[in-house]
Amino acid sequence: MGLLQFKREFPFIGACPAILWQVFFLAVPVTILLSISFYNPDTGKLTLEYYQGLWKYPYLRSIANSCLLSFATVLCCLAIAIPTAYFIAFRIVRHKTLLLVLLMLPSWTNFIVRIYAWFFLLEKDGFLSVAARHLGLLDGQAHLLGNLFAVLIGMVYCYFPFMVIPIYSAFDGINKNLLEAAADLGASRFHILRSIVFPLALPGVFIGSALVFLSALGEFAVQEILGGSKHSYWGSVVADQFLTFRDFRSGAALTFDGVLCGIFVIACIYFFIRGLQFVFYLRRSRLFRRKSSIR
Amino acid sequence: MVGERSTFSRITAALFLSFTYLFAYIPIVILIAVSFNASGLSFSWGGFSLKWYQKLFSSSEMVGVLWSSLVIAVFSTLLSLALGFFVVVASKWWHPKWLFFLFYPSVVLPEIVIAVGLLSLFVMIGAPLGYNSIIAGHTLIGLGFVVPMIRSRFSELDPVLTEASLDLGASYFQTFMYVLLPLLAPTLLAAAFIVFTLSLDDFFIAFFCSGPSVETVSLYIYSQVRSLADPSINALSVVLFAFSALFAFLLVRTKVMDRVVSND
Repeated sequence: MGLLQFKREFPFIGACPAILWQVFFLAVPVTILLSISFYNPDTGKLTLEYYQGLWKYPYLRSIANSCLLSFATVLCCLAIAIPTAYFIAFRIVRHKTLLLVLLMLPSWTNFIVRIYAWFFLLEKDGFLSVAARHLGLLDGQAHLLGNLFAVLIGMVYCYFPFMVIPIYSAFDGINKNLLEAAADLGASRFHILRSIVFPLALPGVFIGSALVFLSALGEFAVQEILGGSKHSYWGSVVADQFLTFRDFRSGAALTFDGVLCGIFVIACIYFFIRGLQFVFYLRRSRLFRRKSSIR
Repeated sequence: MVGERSTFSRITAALFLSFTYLFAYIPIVILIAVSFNASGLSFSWGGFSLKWYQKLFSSSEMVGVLWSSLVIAVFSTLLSLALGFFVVVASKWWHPKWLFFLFYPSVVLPEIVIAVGLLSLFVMIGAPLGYNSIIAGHTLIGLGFVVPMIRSRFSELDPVLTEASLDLGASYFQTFMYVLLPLLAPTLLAAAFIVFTLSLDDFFIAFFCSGPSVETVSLYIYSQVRSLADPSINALSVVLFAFSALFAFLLVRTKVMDRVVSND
């Protein structure tokens, strides 16, 4: 290939490294995982035995635990993130970016450090325990750690900034003229919120929920550090399969089980949000149809 | 909503935002405070002391762990920036339909799936696990962030500039390096900060893909949390937080984040 042709084809060549990287380190591993989960090396045949071996209560329970915990995390994050995003988008005039960066800053600390900070706060002789004792709220030691409450706090703490950004983007993208027009036409504050702001924010809500749900699904460090490994979670079972038992095939099968469940839940969330949008736009389109009959 | 600024809504907004930021910062503030506490991990204030930091920096194990993480972060950042820059810029002239779909899964898939897949890959091809495997994983994740950021900024650039450069006789490579690189520099800087932080903070990829020889900060703290007594872990955590804070400060100061947030 001559120099001239090299120069002419440079865009293709320049893009190649990144493409090769993605293919080799993302597409190929996922394909490997998929293929080894269906193949038994001893009999040399395609088989479902690794999936069948996982159709047992402990494994299914671990996936269910993770799904439930992640879903609870999503709900709690929504409760915090939607008002926060709303207030920053509509109530703050200056320093919006600064506030957002300040909100993201704790999430730019080391993941384990974040969990460790809550561990430190919640442990038996930890800050909240001591403070509660000083304030006379508790007599003995507070057992704040080792339960679901602590795990949920840890999860929400790690993931709620990732919920705020998409929802804020959605709020920020709303055309302010719409709001002004609605106010001019006599809509009350609540009505504007309900029929304009909320429906237009729904895509952001979906993106944030999907992101947080998928990330939280594979989580096991929070549960182990803050929850004392009382329940088993999908992430830790996968880790055990791969690292302790060295059973890569069952591990791969379990990975895909979890991913499929995750996709299923995300699909449910997606259709729920679509349903909400349908309800909102249906009302307005009915109005439109009624008006257009007056000609 | 528009034009109304009642006291009630002002107070609600202020209260709720304060609550949120308090929730976000209390654990970190306490962590920082205790790291300077002479009496270590207890809550009785024993006086201001830097001894845990001294202990941290004199412990060769901890310094080694910090150094490993930094090395991995630097290489991952450089690699993902280089790969991401070229693929986005080159896509103006060569963009098959599937090009950018390659980059979405690394953000969408749970990190554990990527980590486990990488582990399987390395075991299958017999590559030893170590720095290279972790850097590969972090670059992958980094690309997932770098590519969309550069892409959105690139699409905003005036195409006249690139066309002019090519018309005036510059080769593609020259155009990329001397015209587009300076134009995209702020976004590249922001992306660099983000990937660097992501790499320092990462746990999952390091957990699965580090061999017996490499230990990153995340793994070290994870192994130490259970057998808690050492307050120099606090100092280590604060050092990491200082890195993030420094980057965030630089990002805001250079007004780079304004553009990133408004495009997101």
